[in-house]
Amino acid sequence: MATPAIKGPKRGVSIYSYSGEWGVTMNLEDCFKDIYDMGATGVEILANGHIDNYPQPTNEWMDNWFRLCTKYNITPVEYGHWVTSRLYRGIMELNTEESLRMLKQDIILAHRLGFTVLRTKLGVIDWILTPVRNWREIILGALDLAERYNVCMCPEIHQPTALSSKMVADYVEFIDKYQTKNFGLNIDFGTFQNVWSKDRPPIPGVPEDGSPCSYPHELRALLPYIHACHAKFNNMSEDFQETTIPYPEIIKEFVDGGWDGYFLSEYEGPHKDEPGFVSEQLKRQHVMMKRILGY
Amino acid sequence: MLERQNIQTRGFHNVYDEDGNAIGFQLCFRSTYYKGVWLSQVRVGDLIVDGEVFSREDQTWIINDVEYTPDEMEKLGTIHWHILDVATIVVKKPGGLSQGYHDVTVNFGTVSSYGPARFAPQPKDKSEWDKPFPIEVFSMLAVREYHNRMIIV
Repeated sequence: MATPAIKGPKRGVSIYSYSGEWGVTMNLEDCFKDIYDMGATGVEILANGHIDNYPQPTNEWMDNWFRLCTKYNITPVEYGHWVTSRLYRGIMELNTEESLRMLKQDIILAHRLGFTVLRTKLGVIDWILTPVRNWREIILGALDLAERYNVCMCPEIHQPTALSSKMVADYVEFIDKYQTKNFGLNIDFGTFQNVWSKDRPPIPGVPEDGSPCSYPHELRALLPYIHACHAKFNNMSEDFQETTIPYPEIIKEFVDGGWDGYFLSEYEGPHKDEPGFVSEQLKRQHVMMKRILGY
Repeated sequence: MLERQNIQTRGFHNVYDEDGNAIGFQLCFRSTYYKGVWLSQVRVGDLIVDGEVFSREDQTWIINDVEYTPDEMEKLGTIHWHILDVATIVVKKPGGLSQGYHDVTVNFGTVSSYGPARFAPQPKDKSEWDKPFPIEVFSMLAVREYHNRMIIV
């Protein structure tokens, strides 16, 4: 089955969703089979989680990777990796040089595996996820390499970070200043969560009155900067509704804005290690997305 | 395949010297975090068997066929412990463990960088939320206890 050339939001899955079964009841091929069943065509892997012998995978592992992508018609979309800033005891922010060493290694490996977007997780320094103070130097130092290898480094905008925050404004300002195609944003839909459990303890940075961190309409101005999304979800009901995040409104913004890219499912609810549970949640979510998108 | 729990029952046995004398025991341990870590992110605490405490100095950890002390691991920021690999923890104990059941506790944790300190107590004073973390928060706070009850044959 050839991938239909859709311009617009496409469906994919992050292997993160299968964390509870990974290595115990599922391997990489099991995950790909499951994704194929959903008619999804993209995947996110976590470098530090899903690549055997990372950061130096064997040729055998690489061959198997490409075999699976071909067999199950899956596009490598997003490569999740970390710039581990608290790498050593007593150090809060790793120096720029060593951060760059780590980042460059991942840019090259991501490219070798066929990925075009990197979910570049920067270290944070406080409870509301303010990134390390040398993030500009780190990203600037890697822009040339990212351009050469045709990948875009994207920090994840994740609850409690709001789309209207200074953090997002700073990233956008950086992209505009350097006119770069190699640094952008990944939006995690958890920032739109507007239903919470009754006894939720306060989460630093999340409004206490139950309102969401961000609203879907705030996506509009940011669409040109967004290269992939984490289709975060917590609970899919049996009638295919996400009960905590307003998916119809979110997807409408992407469609109306003519956005082209992948929604990568990230299941964040309970029962992750119950065999089959997450697969069922994912399939429910993909029924929902398919209905909303109309394809 | 891996066993679901952190302390694997497979790999638990006494270890012997060349003359066949039991000089200690070993067990296999996996991280159930969703990603692997650099060795320098690993924090090791006491290992306890039936109430007998073996401190971090009494343990060595074998990862990818290389044996490290916990202190050595903390200095190695370029060697990765893959999430699907088990570590073999080796403990010196002349005579080894006796035949039968043993209650085993491993104290283990990893330090992460991308969120608030794992398991760190959230400050009640909200004005602390946008202040840089105190660095001491990350020393041993990530460490948690893992248990299993296993048989020496």
